[in-house]
Amino acid sequence: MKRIATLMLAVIMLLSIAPISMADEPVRIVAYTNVSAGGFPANLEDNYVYKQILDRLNVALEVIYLDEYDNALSARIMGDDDWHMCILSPDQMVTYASQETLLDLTPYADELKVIYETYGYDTDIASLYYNDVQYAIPAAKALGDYYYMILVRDDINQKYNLTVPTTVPELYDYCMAIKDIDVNNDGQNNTIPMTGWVNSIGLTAITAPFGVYLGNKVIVDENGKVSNTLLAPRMKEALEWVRKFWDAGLLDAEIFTSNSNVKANVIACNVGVAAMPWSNILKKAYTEQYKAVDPNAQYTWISALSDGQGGDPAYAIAEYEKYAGDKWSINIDCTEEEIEAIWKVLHYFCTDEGQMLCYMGQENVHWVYDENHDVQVTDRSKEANFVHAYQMLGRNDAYYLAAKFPEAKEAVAFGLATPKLIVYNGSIVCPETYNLVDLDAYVKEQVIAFIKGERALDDWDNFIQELYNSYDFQTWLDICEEQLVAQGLAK
Amino acid sequence: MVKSKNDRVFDLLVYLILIFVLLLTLIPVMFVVSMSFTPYAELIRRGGFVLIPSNFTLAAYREMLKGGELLGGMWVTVRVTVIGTVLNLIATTLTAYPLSRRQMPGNKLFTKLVVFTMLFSAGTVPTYLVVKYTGLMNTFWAMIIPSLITVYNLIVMKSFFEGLPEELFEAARIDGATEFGVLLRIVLPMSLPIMMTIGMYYAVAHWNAYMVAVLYITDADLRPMQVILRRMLKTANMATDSAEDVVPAETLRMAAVCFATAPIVVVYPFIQKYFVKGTLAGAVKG
Repeated sequence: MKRIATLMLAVIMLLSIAPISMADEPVRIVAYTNVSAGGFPANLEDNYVYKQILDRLNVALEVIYLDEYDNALSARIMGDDDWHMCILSPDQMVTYASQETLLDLTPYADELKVIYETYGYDTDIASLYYNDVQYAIPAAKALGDYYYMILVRDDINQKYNLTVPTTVPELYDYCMAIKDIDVNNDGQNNTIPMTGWVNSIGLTAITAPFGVYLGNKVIVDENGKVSNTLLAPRMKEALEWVRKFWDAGLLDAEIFTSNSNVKANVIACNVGVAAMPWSNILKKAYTEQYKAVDPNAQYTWISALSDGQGGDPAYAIAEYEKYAGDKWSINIDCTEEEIEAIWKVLHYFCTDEGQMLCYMGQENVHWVYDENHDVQVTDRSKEANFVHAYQMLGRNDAYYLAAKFPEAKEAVAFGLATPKLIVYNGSIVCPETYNLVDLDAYVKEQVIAFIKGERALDDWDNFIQELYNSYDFQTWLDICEEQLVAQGLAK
Repeated sequence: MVKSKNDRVFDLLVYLILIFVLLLTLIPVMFVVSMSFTPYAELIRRGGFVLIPSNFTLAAYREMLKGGELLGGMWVTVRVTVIGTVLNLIATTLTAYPLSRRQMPGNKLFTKLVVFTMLFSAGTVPTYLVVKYTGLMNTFWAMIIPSLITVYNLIVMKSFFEGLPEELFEAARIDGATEFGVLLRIVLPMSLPIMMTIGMYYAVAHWNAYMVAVLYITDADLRPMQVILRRMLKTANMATDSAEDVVPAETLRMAAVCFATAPIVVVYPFIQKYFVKGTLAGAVKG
């Protein structure tokens, strides 16, 4: 009798424990990403972000980087794989939403509100929607690479008593002076007076003071009307100046071809002026690279140039595509429990603790608060390089960049404070019926032809007419206007 | 025999052309190897082209081997290459031999079916589904079984078998050999060149396997070397904390090329003599 009672007690105890242990099982969330992060731990046991989220939320968030993302993701989605979230470009979002593989986020307005409020996002971003249904979770694109700066050589200025230019004509004279100087002291005639990022971005150092960008970018003018940079009234004036720089041999040929070659030239210290993102030269690692080549070299940024005719200065920052880029979406086949777990994770990234975890790593390991409650990185901060893969909702760049790269704090502040020519291409979802790729390719090719003198500047109006006749430019303008007006970004 | 002046001029010309061709092939190899050992500052100073570096550094190799991930990946690749190649050869031989025997019923039909798969492959998603539903996802075998037989190699081997003298088969059968016995005792010992050649094809394919792993493997412990190298190169441009730690993408890329090709380059000369015979198999018949 005693044995039977003991056995029954044991059975009752086991039965009572079983549901509890089931309830305590963490919810597994698989999130596919294309963000390659150096130093990403190979195993979950070594991943402190995974462990902290598991500990705090009882959610096993597995962020998995897929090589050859588009193909690998397509195979997994079509192959009915076990996934819950994935990062998608606006075009991919449209594709997968139309195939009914993504979760409609409309019923989750309350959950999304937390994200909007924390990160200060707008709710009417076109790239979140397909057929008026929201499928993507907002995330601001990291802005670091969009802080273009005009960098000059402080050491050369002092050595040769050169005056820092303030207008485009002065920049021309400055580059002409640099042309005759052996800036890297190697005894060879290899000085490049001016270089810059490709796709006309570097050239905005010259064109921005004329209100011009040499490419197909959507802008909203001072009256709130949608326009295009190719239709800028002072286009010919700006092009004339770029042509003048090119004809005088002041521009690096790599300005049309390769950012990595431009960067190599800057690190090799054989350039005088570089119009490029600060992040590619002012970070400590790159500074030390160019210092290894020439210990005296010192790149510093200059203020905005004006057109030399009394116009307002405009800085060489061309692109600031707010909310452009890839965003996260949720699998339509997720269970209620999994969807709940996803919102728990995303809301965790809205807390101070969650944000700091995906910005900087672990407190007191990779960063500490100093006596002023400012963040200071520790010697082990590079162990946290991979955490940016968890910035699923974007980030506050002003805070993040200044804390993460203290050596570039002033550059970050300068970049943030400088007015930019804002373009809206990233807020527009191009319909499949319009061939934007062909238009962009033709514009790029012809702009180079105008700069190199292969096409006369007087031919510019004919070129624009070609766009209307052969590339249905008016349709593109109408698409942009319709979408920006609908979003309240234009009238 | 005393050579005439014209002969000597001709020889000299031939030598010069050969030296030129030698340099054409040698300089890119030297460039790749040198770049992998050249410190970044020297590389930049010398305009990005260094054949003989004045300073040597192992920084790129240290960076690649850091953390042991690459060595782990190499071990996976070696296992996939060795086990995969052996299984490839067994499966290809066991398929090619019956197809090469004219007396096998349905020989032509089966050959056509096999060739059909070469011309019209299933595509990525259907293959993915097969791998998934056969339980191969995230397993070592996912890198071997889906590509167990390459139809091109199968046809080359079949052609080789068809070129063997029919009298040998008849003599073996008269002596009482079974079909399997004929294959094992007669055909295989005579097929060393084709085995080495096809083996080399398979081995190189396994060594360089990338997409298979990208599609079917997410487990970190099962990633082959090529996938790890690709990731390293992709993240090579990310800034680290000190210049000493910075290994530029170009140097790292060259070190990766050396690391990935060295084993195949070392093995190749030993099987080269078979390779020539093997690649000509089936090319001249009758």
